[in-house]
Formats: sequence, structure tokens, C-alpha cells
Amino acid sequence: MNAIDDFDRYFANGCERGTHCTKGNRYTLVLASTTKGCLKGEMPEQMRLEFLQHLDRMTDEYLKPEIIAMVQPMPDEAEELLREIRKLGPMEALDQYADPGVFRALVALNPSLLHAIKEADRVWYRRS
Amino acid sequence: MNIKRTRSTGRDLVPINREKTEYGPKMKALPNDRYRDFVRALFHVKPGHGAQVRAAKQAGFGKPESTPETMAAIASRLANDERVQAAIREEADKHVRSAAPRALRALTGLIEDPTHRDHARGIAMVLDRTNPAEIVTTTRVEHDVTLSAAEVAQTLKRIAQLAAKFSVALPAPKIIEGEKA
Repeated sequence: MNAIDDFDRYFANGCERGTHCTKGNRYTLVLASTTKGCLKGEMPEQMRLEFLQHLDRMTDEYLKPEIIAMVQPMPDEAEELLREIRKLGPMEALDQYADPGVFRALVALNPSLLHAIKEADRVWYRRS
Repeated sequence: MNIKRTRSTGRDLVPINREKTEYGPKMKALPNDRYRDFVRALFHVKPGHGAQVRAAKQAGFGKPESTPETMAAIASRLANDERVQAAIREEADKHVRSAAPRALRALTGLIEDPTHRDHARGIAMVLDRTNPAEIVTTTRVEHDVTLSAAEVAQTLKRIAQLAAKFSVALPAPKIIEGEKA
């Protein structure tokens, strides 16, 4: 099953109890993926530490550290899409990252986003 | 006998004389003579509440039937116009400079009058300007951004911890002159 079919199946029908992934969770996952992409590059160690601390601040009860760890860096094609979206301004860009159509396109390019959501839901509902 | 008082419309103010007026660049940059008359009128009308409206009326803005609210809006728009504000600064500078001879005459009178309460202050003011005390200050700024070995180790340790926590692949260490850094 390709990533698009997987996404449509998961979000159209939901898992048994529906996904707990909110709009904020979606754009946080996108930001985590982008941050990991930035960390692949050369930078001073102090800057690298700041980026890692940004990742640390993205975690919460739903997006636990192990969920963020599952997210892979954004591929170049997805970064090109995000670069265009960022021209809309910071607040509008976050809304666009979480937009179902845009997020679906990002999942097609970076399936780890959907894997992270599935695992986060599994852990969340197991806990509850 | 009842005498009916008629309220003045404010339109019979003395018109501004533009003859032989040398304008500076900011005044010349205003759209038309009405704007220039407004700026000049601001320095002549009675100060206080309503001064901008009086200046606007004197310059010919509004109509005889304009309501007070309309005139207030017109005056506010004029006063907040960037070009008008620049012209006001230019005119104010002229007024200050033209007042300099009077200020100097008053200061001379103050210095000549030993009984004036600000006599000593006036003398000090003149001496400060004619023979100022020199103060020489040398400032040397040294800013050391070098991290100590302990700080570097702490930073690298924290990076390693967070990279492991979030499965972040760190770039390979640089190789310098055939040996690992």
C-alpha cells in the first residue's frame, strides 16, 4: 500500500476510535521533520544544540520523544513545497502545513509522518 | 430692546499674506498654498484647544457650512500628514533662529544684573560655551567569545543526549590533515 492510500484509509475511516492527531500536532510533526533536515547540515555546535532544544520543546503527552524520533527529515521535494508555503508568513504557513490537502502531499513525500501519527494514536489509546 | 448676538463663523479672519515669502524645501514640497497657509497659521493662531481647526479655517479648508466634527477631522488629517509635519519643523526652526537675537539680549541683561536670581547660572552658561572643560575618555572593549573546554564538553554532551533521544543523525566528524579532529 503506498503512502497516499494509507493516508486516505487512515483519515477517511480513522482507526477504530478515530485519530487524536489535531491540527497543532500535524504542523508540529512537519516542523520536527524540517528541523531534522536542518540538523543534517554543517553548523556551529551551539546552533546545533539550539535546534535540538527546539525538538525537545515539541514533545507533549501525544507527541512523545519516541514519536518525534520516528519522524524522518524532510526530503528535498517536500522542502521545496514548504519553502513556497513559508512565503505566506509564519502564522499562515503553520495553518497550511496542517491543511489536510497539504499534509496529504507531505505524507506522500515523507511517509514517516503518518507512521508517527499511527504510533502516537496507538500509544494514546492504549494509555486511555 | 433685544440685541440678537450672531456667532462669528470664524471666516472673517485676516487672510495670510503670501507676498515676498521665501519658502524652504519642505514648505515648497507641500501640495498647494492652502497647506502652506495652514503651517504658517499654526504659528499665529491663538494656542490651545482648537488651534489646529482655527489654522485650517484660516488657510481656507472646509466650507462655511462644515460642521465642527468635519473641521476637526480635516485639521487632524492635516496635522498628521508627514509632509505637513516636516514643513512645521522647518518653519519652527526659522522661528527659533529668528528669536536668537532676543534671547541673546535677554542673556546679556541677565549677566549685567547682579541682583537677578539666575545671574550666576547665566555666567556659567556663557563660560561653558566659550571655554568648555575638556574631558578625554578612552574606552577599550575586549570581548572574548572563546568557550572554555568545560563549556564545549557540556555542549557536546547535551547534543549527543538530544540526538540520541530524537534519533537525529549527526554529521561525520571533520578530518583535518589526514587525522580525525
